[in-house]
Amino acid sequence: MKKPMSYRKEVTLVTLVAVTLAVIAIVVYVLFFGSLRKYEYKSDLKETSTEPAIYATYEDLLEGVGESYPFFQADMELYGGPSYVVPGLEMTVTLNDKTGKKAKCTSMTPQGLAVSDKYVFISSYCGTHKHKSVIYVINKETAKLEKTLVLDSMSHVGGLAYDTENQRLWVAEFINKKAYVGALELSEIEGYDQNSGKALKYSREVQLKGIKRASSVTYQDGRLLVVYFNMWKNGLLNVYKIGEDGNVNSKPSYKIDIDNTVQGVAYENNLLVMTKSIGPLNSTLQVFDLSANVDKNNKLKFNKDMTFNAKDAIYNIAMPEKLEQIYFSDGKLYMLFESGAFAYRFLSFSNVDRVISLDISKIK
Amino acid sequence: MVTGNTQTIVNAIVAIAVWLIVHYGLARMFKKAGEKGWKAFIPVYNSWTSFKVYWETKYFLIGIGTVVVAFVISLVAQSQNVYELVMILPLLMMKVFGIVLAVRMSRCHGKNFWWSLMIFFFPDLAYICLGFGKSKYERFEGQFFEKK
Repeated sequence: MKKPMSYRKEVTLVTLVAVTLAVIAIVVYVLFFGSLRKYEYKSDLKETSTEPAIYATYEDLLEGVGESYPFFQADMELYGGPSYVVPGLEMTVTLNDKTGKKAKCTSMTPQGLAVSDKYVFISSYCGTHKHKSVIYVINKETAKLEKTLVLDSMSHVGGLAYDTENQRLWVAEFINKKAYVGALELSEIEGYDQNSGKALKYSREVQLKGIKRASSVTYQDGRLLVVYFNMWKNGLLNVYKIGEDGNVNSKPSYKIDIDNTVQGVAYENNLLVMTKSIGPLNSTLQVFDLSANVDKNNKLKFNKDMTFNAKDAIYNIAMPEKLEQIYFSDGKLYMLFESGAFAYRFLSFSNVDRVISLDISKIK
Repeated sequence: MVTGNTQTIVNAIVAIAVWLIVHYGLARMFKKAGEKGWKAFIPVYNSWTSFKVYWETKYFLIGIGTVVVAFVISLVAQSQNVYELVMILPLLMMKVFGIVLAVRMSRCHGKNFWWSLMIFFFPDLAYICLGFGKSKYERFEGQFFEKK
């Protein structure tokens, strides 16, 4: 009769099988995800898609995402506001970066968000790095896509900020491996013809010193708050003043320590909110109360001792994975997720294919 | 036509039925080991009883203790990053304990290596097979690090 395996050997073997299967699963996941990131499927659409890529209605989205995130569904049903379909997730008409010719891109990945009185702006980059990045201009009132701005850049365009003082849209840029912000005047945006076959150039570009990369940006009372995303170590929130001539000072007024994996920042009514997200982990909204830093004229004062880490937050709100940029407008926090992009559609626990808004003052 | 509500009710009934069958299997395993069957239906207590029957309860306490310590550390640090880092340790420890428990469970029922794998990867199926099967319980006293 065959001698049974020793106990120690059996435990070791089962452990080896478990570890091997785990490694195989991770390798398959990485390879599958990697292949999706390089894949552009063919689309029969002729115009940039405006229909939702995943959920037909807002209610369907809440129910679908609520299966993985019931707390999110409950918050949104109680305190949710307007929502906007993220256009171009199915297909975006843009330009091929090499040939400069019109091209269909099916791998657009939304990154940046800004909201003005009239428009909701969403920036997206091509996941396969073949096409030029774009900004979708959505009518805030009607929620319809007005036009798609094709940028003269393939950059990640991770952040947008609407400068209400100068009627200008600032775009977080990465040029020659350096942090920049590029400006698009509202008049140029409104005058741009998306059928011209030409990319829209920035009216001005400013290199940002004291930061490796502009991962996200927001506008706050004559200043740009620029986030540097760091995966492992703490990141940075740099404050850059905008001068009377409308130019951004390239040297930061303040460099503020923030947590790692911060993807977006927004400010309104003494509340600074930052988003943290990475991979399939839950996203977090970190909410900081800055009322003690506001002067008599309601002007926010930064100081060199400030930090915006989890321990400084008055509360942290869990959100579905892959939350990117956020933006305040009309007392609501607008949120953009990248989980609706093709590459993430099959590898996420939830997919949010709309910009959604929430009154976060009601959640604690 | 099946409506959304009907589907939800059907799903719930199936889930409850599966839960009952699996835990009834575990109850029969406990009975074979001389424990009361109802213990299988009480969450956490059924894990305690499994450790008692197949291994030692001190390992259950070590596992729970590690989770609590990790949770307290992350609360004190008030950082999600710390939370994610420190929770990896108890998660890994539970997986290792799960492997040892699976091998011991398999040995107690006179089963071989393949059963150990099945218990670890498909515990629900294994509980049904072991509970309703003909295997008999015999306490396994072996230690990973044998005392000299």
